[in-house]
Formats: sequence, C-alpha cells, structure tokens
Amino acid sequence: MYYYILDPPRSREEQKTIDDLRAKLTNLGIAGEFVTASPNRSIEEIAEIGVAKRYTTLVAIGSEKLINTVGLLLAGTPYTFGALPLENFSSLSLISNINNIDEAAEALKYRRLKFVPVTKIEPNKFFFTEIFNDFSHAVKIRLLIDDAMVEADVTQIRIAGNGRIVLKKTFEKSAGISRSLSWITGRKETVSEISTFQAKAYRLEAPIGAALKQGQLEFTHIPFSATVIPKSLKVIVKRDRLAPSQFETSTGGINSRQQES
Amino acid sequence: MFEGTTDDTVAGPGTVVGANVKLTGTISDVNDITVHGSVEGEVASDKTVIIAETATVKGPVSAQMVSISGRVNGSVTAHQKLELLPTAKINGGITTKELIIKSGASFNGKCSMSPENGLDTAKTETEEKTDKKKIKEDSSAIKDSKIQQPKDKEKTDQQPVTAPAGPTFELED
Repeated sequence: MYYYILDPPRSREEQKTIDDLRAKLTNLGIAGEFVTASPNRSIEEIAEIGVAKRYTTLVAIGSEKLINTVGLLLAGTPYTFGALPLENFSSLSLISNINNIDEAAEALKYRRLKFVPVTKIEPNKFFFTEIFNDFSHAVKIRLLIDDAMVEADVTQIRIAGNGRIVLKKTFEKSAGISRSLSWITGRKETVSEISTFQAKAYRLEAPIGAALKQGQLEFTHIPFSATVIPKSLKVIVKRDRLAPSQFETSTGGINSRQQES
Repeated sequence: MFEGTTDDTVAGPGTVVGANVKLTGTISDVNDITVHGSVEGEVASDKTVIIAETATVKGPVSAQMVSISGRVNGSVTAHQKLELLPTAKINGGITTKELIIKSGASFNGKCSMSPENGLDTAKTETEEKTDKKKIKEDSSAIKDSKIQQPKDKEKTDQQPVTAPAGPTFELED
C-alpha cells in the first residue's frame, strides 16, 4: 500500500488528471491513501503522518517542487520514494527513466527500486532532479569540475542531481547561402553544440548572479559549489525491458553538433 | 542526514567536450570521452577516447581504444587499438597494441607496439630489475624482523623458566 501526497489542483484540468490517475492506480491494484497538501498542513507534516502510519513507500503527485520536497525528506532514510509528476517529465526521466504518467503508474506497480544520488549545494540546499537555466543569448560560463576547469559560451545549462552537467549552445547558422535561404523562406536554421560532463563535485563561477531554476521557481544563484552524495535516496524506477528505451539511445553519443529547424 | 555508502560509478553515456568548450586540467571518465573542443591537460578513459576533427588536445591521452582525427600534442596510449584518421595530427609518442594510420594523417614521435601479451602485463627491463630488488629487500626485512627481538625478551628467553620463590598459600574452602 502506498501513501500518496498530492499538490492541491490548480485547475479543473489538473483535477480531472488527478481523478483519472486515481482510477488508473486503483485498476493497477496499487491504490492507497491519498492526502492533499494544504496551507494548514505542510508537506513535511503530511509525510511524517504517513511514516507514523507505517507506510514504507511515499509517492508524490504534482509539481517538481512537491516531488523534490518529499524526495529530500526521505533521502538518507530506509523509506522508498515514488513520483508521478504532472509537469516536466524530463527531470524525472533522468533518475527513473520514466517519460509519461502511464509509465510512472506502471513503474509503481512493478516496483523496481534503485538508489539515486542527491546533490548538496552549499551550504544547505539539496536536489535530486534537475536545475537549469535558458539564457536569451550566449553567456560565458566558468565551471570547475573535479580536476578540470571548463570555459564555454552557452545558451543553456542543465545540472542533474546525479552530477550530470549539460552545456548547450544554440546559434543560427550564419553561412552565406543558408542565411540567404532562411531569409527567403522565413525558416531559421539553428545549430546546437552540446557538452556533457559527469562530476562528483563542481563549482559554477560565472556568470555571476545568474539564477538556476527548478521547475518554475528559482533554486540557487551563481556562484555556488555542489557535491554529489551517492546512493542517498531509494526510488521506484521504470523496469528494464528487452529492447533499449528511446531515452537510452538518444543520450550521449559522438555527434555533439545537431541540426534543428 | 545523508549517509552515502560506496562510490556510485554510473555507467552512462560518457563525457562530451563540445566545440565551443575550452577545458584546462584532467578529464577522466569510466565511459567514453569525445572531444570536439580544446583541452589542455590529460584525457583518460577506461573505454574509448575520440578526438574529433575540430579538437585540439595538449596533453597525454589514454584509453583502451583511441580514435583521432584532430590535433594532439602529447603522448597517446591505447591499450587495445589506436586509429589515426586522415585529418589527424600528432606530435608525441604513441603506445598501442594495434595501430591504424589512414592516408593523410600526420605523426611525429616514437611508436611503441606492445608484445602479444598486451600492454598490461609487459614490463620494461628497468621495471623487472626494480621488482627483483624489491623482492630481495622484502625478504631480508622479514628475516631481520625474526632475528631482532626486544632485549628483555632475549634475556627471558635465554633463562630457563622457574617458579618464583616465595611464600606458599593454601586455599581455604
């Protein structure tokens, strides 16, 4: 039996989504106790009540903020954490390989467990999903990773809780003929250069003052130092299948230059 | 609050240094490393290193398999296979078991090909001499430790063990 912690729905569509989800979970045989967060009762209190009721698995349903809050409450404890995000599946897929709500519900049923790392940002912030920023124009960043210093012009930074850092620079192709063609057709042809690093400890030093967000909210500001704490949180992930998933084949790889139109 | 257990060596997609990146220092990964940009320092992978055409590396490169189509100023060690593609330019020594040099590649330096046993087991003559010397030193140290004993113990060992003279006691029930 699972203990489900929900965000209060912000719209009718979200309420309908939650109702459909409850029906789906019941059909899968993994119904449990559903509790909605409210101003009168904080998420921490709700989680403590679930633990006091001897639930060993707590599932967060809702925003990335709720998922991170509940997950971090369970980090370092023997309790199991599950997540059903209603927004931004990309950050969840980094840790659990889950890309939509159907996969998330199925993962809860089959209950494949995995220990995932949690990142600590000095002095006292933690996250295990993802923080990121999209810049309107290319900015120069300086990043210290373990034994290396990285300097690059980027338009996007994404940092996952497992220490995976992705730097992306997207720019318009400026070669003569293609630029003229894009002016005639009205279609912009952009090129992306992507760099990926795996860090155990890192420090982002520039651009000073820029914010990194988690979901819709600002999470931290540059400069900051971070350390990856391995195997901190027990999470329900998608079970392996015989054929490799789309996520596994699309990440990494040799070609860092991609054409986008 | 958080007590991580052992190291979390994740098998993942590896490291990619994009064309717009300048990296200074050591870059190492248990997975593949692909370099398109500029690296001043060491590049070390437990699997494959790919130095792309736009890449410039100033420093040693080591991996099981290395494929180079850019510029490298430094030594290259490929435990299994090294491939130099037509646009490759290397200034430095190379050490590998299997070497492929495509037409157009430029290479200035010494080349060392390992024997059939592989790079991991092969030792140079000086390394073998050092190992033999170390074995001799260890064995002599073991002998000395058996011979050398504390002075007090020497005295007690030399003297026969006898019961100390003194009053006798009878146990009462």
